[in-house]
Amino acid sequence: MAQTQSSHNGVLQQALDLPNEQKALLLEEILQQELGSSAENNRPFLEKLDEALTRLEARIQSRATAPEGAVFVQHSGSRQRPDPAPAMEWLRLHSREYGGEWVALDGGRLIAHGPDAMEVYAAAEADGAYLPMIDYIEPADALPFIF
Amino acid sequence: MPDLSFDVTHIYTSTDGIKIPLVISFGGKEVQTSGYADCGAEACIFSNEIGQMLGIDVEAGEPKSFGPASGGTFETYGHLVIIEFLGITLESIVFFAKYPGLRRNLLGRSGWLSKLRFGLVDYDSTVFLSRLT
Repeated sequence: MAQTQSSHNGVLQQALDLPNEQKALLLEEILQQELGSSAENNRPFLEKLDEALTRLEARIQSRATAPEGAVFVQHSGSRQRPDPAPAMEWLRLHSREYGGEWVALDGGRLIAHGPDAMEVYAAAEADGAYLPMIDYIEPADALPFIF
Repeated sequence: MPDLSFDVTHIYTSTDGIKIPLVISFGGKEVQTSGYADCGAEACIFSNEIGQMLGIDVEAGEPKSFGPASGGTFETYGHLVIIEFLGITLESIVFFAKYPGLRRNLLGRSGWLSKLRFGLVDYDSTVFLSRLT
């Protein structure tokens, strides 16, 4: 991707203008990319910054915006929380098939399902996915809920 | 007109309520699940099963009975947990059901709503949130 000096400056300014918490996310995007492939080391930094900005914008649009001053909460092992959006979308699309069951989801991947919550949870732990979504799906014919 | 501003905008896709993805933590264990925003619930009430997944000795908590709309009593036990949702983190007392089978986790006033500025446009499936400092 050939870029002029002015477009470089524009990308840099766009990154600098981000709120602090989004700057942190941007750096995280870059680092994840860097750590993911050694071939990335040969590409210009600003090119990677530009791509990371694009990914960040898509991420922000596809999920809730982070509150000012909020840090994306880090797991004790310094891992970022998984994006719940794919699991929530899976639940929206597949609820009728698994009514009355607990499900464990790794993003949009079904790890386990069944009527016994602890069995489903154990299967999810055995799978090794980081922080799977564990949720109960109400039966399709359940009466409307009121507590 | 009041001038309200919010830090978080969340569009929910569930059609059966205002379902919010969350991570609940206790004693180093954490579970990702969901809860329903419920302005009519006095407190946060989670299923017994989620308590078990967190390794909580549910009945060792603060006992509290609730009166559901259908009558009778609903027995729970309160525990101090951390709830993370949409980039907001709260330390709250959550009441876990004594018995398994609660269909939904409820995010009620005490422990959740009372710690937030909360806006809702259900027509647009959108909630607006800010944490009160």
